[in-house]
Amino acid sequence: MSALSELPAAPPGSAHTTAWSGPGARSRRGARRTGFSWHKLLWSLLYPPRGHRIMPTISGVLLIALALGIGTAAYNTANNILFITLSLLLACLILSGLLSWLNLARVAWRLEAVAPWRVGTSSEVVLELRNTKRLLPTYGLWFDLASTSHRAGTRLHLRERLEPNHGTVRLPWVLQPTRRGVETIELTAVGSLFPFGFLRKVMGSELRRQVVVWPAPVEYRRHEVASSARPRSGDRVARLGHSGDLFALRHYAEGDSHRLIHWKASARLGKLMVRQFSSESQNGFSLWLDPSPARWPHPEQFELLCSFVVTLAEDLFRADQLGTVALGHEAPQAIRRVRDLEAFFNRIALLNHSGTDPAPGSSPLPRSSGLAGRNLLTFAPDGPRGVAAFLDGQLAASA
Amino acid sequence: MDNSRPQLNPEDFGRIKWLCGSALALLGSWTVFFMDVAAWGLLLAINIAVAAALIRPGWPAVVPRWIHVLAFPVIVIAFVYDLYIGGEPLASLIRLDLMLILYRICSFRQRRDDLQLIVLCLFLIVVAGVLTVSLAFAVQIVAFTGVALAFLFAITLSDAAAPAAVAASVDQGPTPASARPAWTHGRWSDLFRKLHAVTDWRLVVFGGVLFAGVVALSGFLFLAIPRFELGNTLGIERWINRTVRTGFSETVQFGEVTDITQDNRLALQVDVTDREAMPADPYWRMVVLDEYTATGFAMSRPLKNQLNLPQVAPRTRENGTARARADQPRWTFYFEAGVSRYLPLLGSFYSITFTEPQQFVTNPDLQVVALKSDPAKMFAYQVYGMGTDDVIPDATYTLHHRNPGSTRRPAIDFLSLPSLSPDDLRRVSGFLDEIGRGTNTVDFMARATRWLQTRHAYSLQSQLPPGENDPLVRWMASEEPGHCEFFAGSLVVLARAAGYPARLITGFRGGTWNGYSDSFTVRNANAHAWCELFDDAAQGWRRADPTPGGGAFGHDPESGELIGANTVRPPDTGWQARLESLRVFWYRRIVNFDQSTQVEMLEATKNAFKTNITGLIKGIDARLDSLKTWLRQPWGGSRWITFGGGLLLAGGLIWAWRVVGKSWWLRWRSAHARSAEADPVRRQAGLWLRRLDRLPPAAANHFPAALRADLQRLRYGDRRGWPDPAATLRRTKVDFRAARRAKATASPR
Repeated sequence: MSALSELPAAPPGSAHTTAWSGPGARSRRGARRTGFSWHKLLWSLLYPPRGHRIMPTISGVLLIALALGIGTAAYNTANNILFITLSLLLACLILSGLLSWLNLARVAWRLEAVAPWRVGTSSEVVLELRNTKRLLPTYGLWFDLASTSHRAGTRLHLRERLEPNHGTVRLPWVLQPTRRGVETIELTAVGSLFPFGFLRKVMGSELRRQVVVWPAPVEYRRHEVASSARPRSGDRVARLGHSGDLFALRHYAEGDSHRLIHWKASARLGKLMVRQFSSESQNGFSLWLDPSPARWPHPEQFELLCSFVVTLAEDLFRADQLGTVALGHEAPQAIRRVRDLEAFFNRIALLNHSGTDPAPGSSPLPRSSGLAGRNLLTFAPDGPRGVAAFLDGQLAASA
Repeated sequence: MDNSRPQLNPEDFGRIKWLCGSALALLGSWTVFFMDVAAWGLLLAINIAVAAALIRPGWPAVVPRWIHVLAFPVIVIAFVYDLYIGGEPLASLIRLDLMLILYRICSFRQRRDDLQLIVLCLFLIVVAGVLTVSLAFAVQIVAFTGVALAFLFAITLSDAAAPAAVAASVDQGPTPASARPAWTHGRWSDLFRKLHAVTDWRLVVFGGVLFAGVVALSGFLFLAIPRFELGNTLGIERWINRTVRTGFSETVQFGEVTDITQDNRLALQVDVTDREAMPADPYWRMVVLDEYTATGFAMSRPLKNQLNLPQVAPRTRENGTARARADQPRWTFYFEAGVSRYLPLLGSFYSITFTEPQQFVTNPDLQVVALKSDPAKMFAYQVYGMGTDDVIPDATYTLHHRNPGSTRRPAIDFLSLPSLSPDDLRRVSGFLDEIGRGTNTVDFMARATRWLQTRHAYSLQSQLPPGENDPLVRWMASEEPGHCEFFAGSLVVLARAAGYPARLITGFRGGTWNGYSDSFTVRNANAHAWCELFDDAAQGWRRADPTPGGGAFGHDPESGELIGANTVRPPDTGWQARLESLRVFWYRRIVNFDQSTQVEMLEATKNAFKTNITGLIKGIDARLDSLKTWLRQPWGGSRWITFGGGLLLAGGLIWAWRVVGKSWWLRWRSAHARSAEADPVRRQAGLWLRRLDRLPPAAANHFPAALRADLQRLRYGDRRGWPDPAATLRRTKVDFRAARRAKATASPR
């Protein structure tokens, strides 16, 4: 769970976005403003912040060469016409710097990435831009984005005018994650040639957004199983949903939907009571995964295991047949709702094949889990590459 | 977010770039008008191409591909041929530049072609500026800067709007020149309509202010850039040949000076530190002609030899006349290009200074200064200790005249008339009998002038009478009207025949005061010819102008005192004078700005600052002293009444402002605000409401709810239901502070 805990805290009200970043990020109402100081400005000229670069473009080099040539000729001849031209060129360079600064001033950006992401599936990262200047629009910025699985990254261009007064533009980047785990999307640099293309101004950025990438779904083969355990009398399975016929009322359990609460019965009994549907009494499977490296010596096989487990769990959940899941020697977790399943997928996504973290080590199924012999699905290597799933010891599926 | 303004697409930017490129091409090519380069055909072709490109932007697609392939080699061959045949590198370069501009106009441009077009046009404008130092350069470079910046801006935005196209062009090379881009299918009217919709007038004003700032900043940089001279000269004007007027050269045919008077263009502007020193009727001497031929006057070979040995001299040359006194005025001349290599002067002078080392010759006997060649651009020089007398002192000739053969160097012959036949001489002798030989030079001058003016009227449309004899003798014998050259030439012939050394002078006579620039303006229309007769008594050459209307020389005939031009010539305040004053400003402050001027300017700025600060401190001290003195005086009833009345008046005014004035002012500004955001009342109310929102709850509870409601009415409500804005805002300020204080005092507990 440690990798998950490192994920950045989402800003209030927007779980999928980072906080605003950039020169305009501090101008939000209520946020603390950092005042301008000449000291900081001069110091930044001497020691630019990390990642900040200003390089002349071809036209910039041409302009500098032109200015040098005209300046040399002007000093050589004391010709005031040449001095005037030189002065105009220098003034244009200063204007270029001023406009470039104005263009970037009070512009903020943030990254938005909506989970879930899966390996091999197209996912979208949105870079949202905001211009809080009152009068001046912003033009011609580009943003270099990179991710863990796309080191080369991409460049997003602001092609249109970003209007002043909190004008916003959303720039999407569609990418396909190539491996499970934590995918870090990073805005590496913000650049601009604005306004005259003399200088390529690049600002470093450390804006990051981390997304958990679930394993890719895999195709697997089901096998005939001799029998499966029926639910015993008195077993109660709390499940979200209300498919099937209503046949009883039961006590409220954590995770039950509020819509299932029977308010009249709850008021009468003084306890929360929920409606119980027939679907809750159907067959449910428990899924236990032992991710120890000793059991899964080949990384490829381990990856296949993760994909197989996720696919199987998803299929069982869709069929309302997934009861509990367990990893290693940990206590089983009931899967009552989508969030539980997603949490399980997150854990699978973050499983480390080296066995250091976060998966527990190899261990037999703990007796206290209560899973043994109750429609328990376990996994074992199937040859050097395959993975097999066993239902209460019988081969049930293989991938 | 205001989405009402449409976005410009790459096609719009393509059209804007095309428009800017065409404008730059026109600006660059129009420099041909100033440079006196034979490139009129190319200029015409560029203008036609630009017009065609604007009317039908897609027409370059019609040009066959093989023309694009052959264009560059053909241009190079044409340049080499031009250079080989013409032998003028600069003129050939200018024509090459124009050919390249023409080609760029006739083809669809990529980014680097656009940049090339900008550089080509800048080259033309800078070269034209260096060659002509004309005021037009200032206009052109400012216009060029504006258009070029807009062009570059459009290129940057275009690249940002279609980065994929830029990347593709980089990867795959430029698209063929004949491939028609999508933007050529649009119409200009659509573009302008869209630009009108896109334009925010506040941004336009902001852009205008920024551009003005750029111009002002460049002006500041121009003044502030440290100057030091390396002592060389670029001399690109030497790479180009210019035509000059023949009226001010070593040979003057009859009528050539008069032809110059048909041209009303500027020839000379003169700054003089003492306006009183300018004669009312100044004669600007340029060329001294000693030899009379049958067709006009010319410089004799000995004289020419003296003036054709220029040497590179330092910037300043002393002339050998009496040292200039400190109180004597300084004369600054701005001599236009294409007039002559002989510099206009009023007479003798002590020293002459140029802006840079020059190749020139000064002849102290003739008081003539000649450059090695005709200046190709405006030429500035300063003269100290210039004499404005009617007599040009000439000690050498005086010595020779009194003791012929005493000087080693053969004196120039100012007495012979070799071109006159014996018959002509006899007729001239007859004229002299009518005139009288006179007792001295002055007497003869007066007699001859009177005789000529009695027989001949003045006319610019003069013709020599037909005949076989000497033309001037024929004219003197007739009663035909004549122009200045006939009158002056006749006086020279008569004087020499009478035994008085004489010579013809060409230059300018008169001029006008510019009421704006406070300078003296001389035009080509002021071209004139007169003569000088040697006056032994005065030991120099006495100016004689026999042309009707001439001869006053700016001196009072009674007292001989100089009559200042400013007393007899009203300043010229017309539109032409206004434009010419700009040219004078350009020459004075820009073209002739140098290290010494920079130092002077810094000194002047420092002195002005010191003077102003000192004056301010003194003024404050004086006011405080007077107040102190007033307070120390005995306080009688009237003083108390005055003092109390003043206090009451001030208090009343403040009270009235607070109670009525401020509220009225706020309401007026609010009523005339263009939007809710610009409404000062709503803005201030909003500001206070935001501040209240940020207050901690404990402090906010101390703020009156009714007042908050009033603020909300001011911020969002109808104006008709507003409480008094000034009073509300004032109370808000007080109560806000009170609420904050209450919180601060409550916190420690």
